[in-house]
Amino acid sequence: MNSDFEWQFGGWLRQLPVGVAWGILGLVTLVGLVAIVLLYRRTLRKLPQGSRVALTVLRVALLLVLCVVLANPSRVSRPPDDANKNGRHLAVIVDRSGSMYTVDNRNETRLQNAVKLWKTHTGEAVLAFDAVDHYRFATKLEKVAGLDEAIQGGGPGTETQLWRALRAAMADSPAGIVTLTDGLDTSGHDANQVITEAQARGIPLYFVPGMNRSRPGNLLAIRDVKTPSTVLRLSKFNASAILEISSPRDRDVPVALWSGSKMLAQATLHARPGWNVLPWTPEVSSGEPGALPLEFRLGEGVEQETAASVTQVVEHTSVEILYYQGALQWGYRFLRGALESDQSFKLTSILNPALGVRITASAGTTLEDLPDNAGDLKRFQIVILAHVLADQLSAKQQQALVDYAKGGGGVLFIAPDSEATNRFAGTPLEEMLPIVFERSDESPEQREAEAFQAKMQQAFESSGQDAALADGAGGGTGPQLVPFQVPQGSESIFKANMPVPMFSNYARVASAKPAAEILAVHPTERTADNAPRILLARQQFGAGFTAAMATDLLWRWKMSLPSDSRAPETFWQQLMLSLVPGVTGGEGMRIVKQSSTAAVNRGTSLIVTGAPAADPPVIVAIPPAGQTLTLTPVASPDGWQASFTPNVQGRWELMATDSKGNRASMSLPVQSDVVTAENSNAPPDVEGLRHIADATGGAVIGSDPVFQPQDTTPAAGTEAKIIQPMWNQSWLLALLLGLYVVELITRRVMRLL
Amino acid sequence: MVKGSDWHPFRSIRTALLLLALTPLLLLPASAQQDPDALRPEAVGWARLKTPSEWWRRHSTGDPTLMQFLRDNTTLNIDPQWYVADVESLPQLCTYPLVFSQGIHMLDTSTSKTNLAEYMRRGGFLLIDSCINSSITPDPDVFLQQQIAMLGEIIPEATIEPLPPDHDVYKIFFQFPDGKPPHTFMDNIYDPKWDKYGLFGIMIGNRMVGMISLSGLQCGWDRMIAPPGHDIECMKMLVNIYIWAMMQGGDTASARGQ
Repeated sequence: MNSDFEWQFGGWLRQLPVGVAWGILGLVTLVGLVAIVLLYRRTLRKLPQGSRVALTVLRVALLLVLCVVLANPSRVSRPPDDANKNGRHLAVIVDRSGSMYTVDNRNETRLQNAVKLWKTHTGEAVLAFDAVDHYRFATKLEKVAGLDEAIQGGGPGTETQLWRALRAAMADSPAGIVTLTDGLDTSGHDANQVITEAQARGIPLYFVPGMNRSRPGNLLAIRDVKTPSTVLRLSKFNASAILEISSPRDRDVPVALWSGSKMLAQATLHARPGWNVLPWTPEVSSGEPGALPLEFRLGEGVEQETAASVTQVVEHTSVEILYYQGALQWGYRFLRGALESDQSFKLTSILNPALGVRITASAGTTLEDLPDNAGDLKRFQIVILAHVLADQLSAKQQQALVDYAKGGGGVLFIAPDSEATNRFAGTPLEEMLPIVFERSDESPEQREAEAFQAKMQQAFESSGQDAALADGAGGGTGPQLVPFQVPQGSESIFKANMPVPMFSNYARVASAKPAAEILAVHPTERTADNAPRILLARQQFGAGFTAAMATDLLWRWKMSLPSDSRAPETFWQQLMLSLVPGVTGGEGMRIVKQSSTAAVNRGTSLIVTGAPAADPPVIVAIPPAGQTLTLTPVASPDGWQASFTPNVQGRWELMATDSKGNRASMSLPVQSDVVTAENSNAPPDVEGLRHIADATGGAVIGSDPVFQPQDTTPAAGTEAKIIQPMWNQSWLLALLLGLYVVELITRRVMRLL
Repeated sequence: MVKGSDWHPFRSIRTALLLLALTPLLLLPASAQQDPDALRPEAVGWARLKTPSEWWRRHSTGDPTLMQFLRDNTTLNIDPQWYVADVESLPQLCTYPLVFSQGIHMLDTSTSKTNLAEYMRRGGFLLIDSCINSSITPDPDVFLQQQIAMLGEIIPEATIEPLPPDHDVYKIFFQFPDGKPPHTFMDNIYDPKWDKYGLFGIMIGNRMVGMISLSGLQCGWDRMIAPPGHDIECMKMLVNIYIWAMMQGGDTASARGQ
């Protein structure tokens, strides 16, 4: 873009040439100047010469600045002259992965099928776009000279990085992308990121599905599992598995997570026709200290696949918490006491610098204010923001919190004050929270008046309790405490038989966000939609958790309980643990296969990760029948590597045991040939492609025309440009106002007013 | 120069220019300035411990002044009115996170003793401040021993520890560089018997559950005869004690090994 300075003027002056407009404005200004000088020569009162000059100068300055503002000085940005040329180009991408070479009974490959269809549309594309660029990909996107080179150059690839290729092509900002593909992506990622990026860039995605009549196969496989190596007792954590399902038709496949003989979680995954890579991440309760074996089971009966690992549940570990307090309040004393009663919790506190409170920092605590980059928050597993106002936190600090949570941190926001929560509307912090606070249309004055009335009413109600006291109020028993109501199925942080927390103040929550887990609601108060008011909710946010508690810090509840009650401590500690994903980090030991299946008499390898680097694990391969093979682990950058050659078909079991006794296992189907996504004969995922196309404004291309020729000639008299007024600055408006105010004050002092 | 007035053109212009320079501040967004009232959280009350002593409410007339000082100098949302916390009523005690007392040595019922101990174990903070009037507290040494004895009786696990001059309570909000509380003296006559005392912490394990002062802070803020500004110094010390109590962990369960 080229930027120029221009006098744009306004109103009817804009239609005139700049010189004429300046002439008219200058003439008016000149008349004004003469009038000012004349008027100040003859004032109502006689003025000293200096004062007369000063007043004249002030008024003249005001007029001149006003004149400049009316001339509308602006910065005008125009795109370069050649920007409109070649502006609309179409990217045509050809999938060259192995699956596109699957041959059917007519000896036609999917690639040939897609090219044949696309060639019927190339004429439309030429008319509709200024240029057509060609690419090909299997693992990596490459630009080529034309369609022929895209089809013919190089051999079939062993992977299909479809989503990656689409995102790479979008970097060149084409007007549209046409992809010749069977929709098979083997990266394990989902297409949502592609859809989001295409929507953001306004790029429609078109697909030419490569189809043929080859017979698809069935396959169930667990590609990978991930579990934490250690977790705290009585905490929640996520275990995840990536599952591969190839099916010729729609299919529901059961998946379950077991610990010994106890099923911890189960689900039914829906697989579309074709190759499906599906992640499954159940939440697991850690239970009491000890080894927690975890086994994923995919499918049923003879086709069932398994993968197992072990997570160690520990009694104590360090949970580092950063506590930021926005206002002075007593809740901190009790929250701190509750957390520090368990040595697992290490609390570092920051007080809002505006409070003016100085506390000697303990060893290792060097933060004076909330950091404005996520890196400085990394050493903490949880950040608590209590009684914080939106304007206390800079945009950078709020963004740091967002990044921190996305990167795996836990953020707990505590605010019992609706007036304070109103201020968070539209901030990054509000976006990360699991709830939406209610917006109030009342003015602060109205709210203050209501609060005053409520207080007066309360005072009247409590009067007379101690009539003998002339100047001290009757003691009473303080504000009424209201118990949390825990929705069914959300008892995760509330232990059985434990008194539920009670509060005295709360902020009004309008609703929960879609992914939120509501942990507690108000027992009686309802929203306009007749839903219970949410008091406590949390949600997964990126790799971390965010939670919001719309009540006070429960100190009155603590003071209402016998001193030997551990309920407040248990509640706070459980809440904190629920916000720590994985708690201690690190992955448990697991086996990573080279491919989903193996072939008889062909070497296959595996890697064991998460085992101690110093002590090689014991790795064995157990055939369906016959003698167990003990494999030799070899250290590699990725873990302990081992290889073997299966000699019989069937389901083999791979097992690794480390020096601490941790065990991981995984089943390995051995067939006559290795089955991969590329050679599994999975049918094209046309429905998946259609979903992406519909979401981005594109289409799955068939025999009907899809592109319309476009007239790209700009309309006469129109010009692309961006006008940024330069006078619209607060300091300039302040100057105008200031000049006028000073003149008025001076005139008053001179008794001219 | 205008006749009959002391108006001076340069002075007016200087004032006008100053106004001009300040004008842009009017255009600052409201969010750029932190409204002290916006920082005030839920209200809490200031309570005096009602004991069998006839003096339990002495100097309470000065409490509204103290409350106003707290509100003016901090963002605490403290009620301007003072409240009664009857030691015979545990729910009433537990309404207030901090209770002010003239002394507890006169507690004479098991209920009152049990209540006060339970209040501190739950996390409440007890502030004892002796009145320096010789007709009420004739001997500071005896007063201190009486408090320690009563605390030892009702909370056997408690210890009383003198606070060192570099303790945070002397610098958490207002600065007391010499690490000593301001002392009020009877009839403004210096008395080393009183002056030798700093502040004492009432500890359960590593938690401070209360504080003992022999400085007559209440006498100071209630404007007994004292040097000019002494009332302010006493209120500043009280502010520091109050804020410091808020910043400490209140739970005593771990200290008792539970």
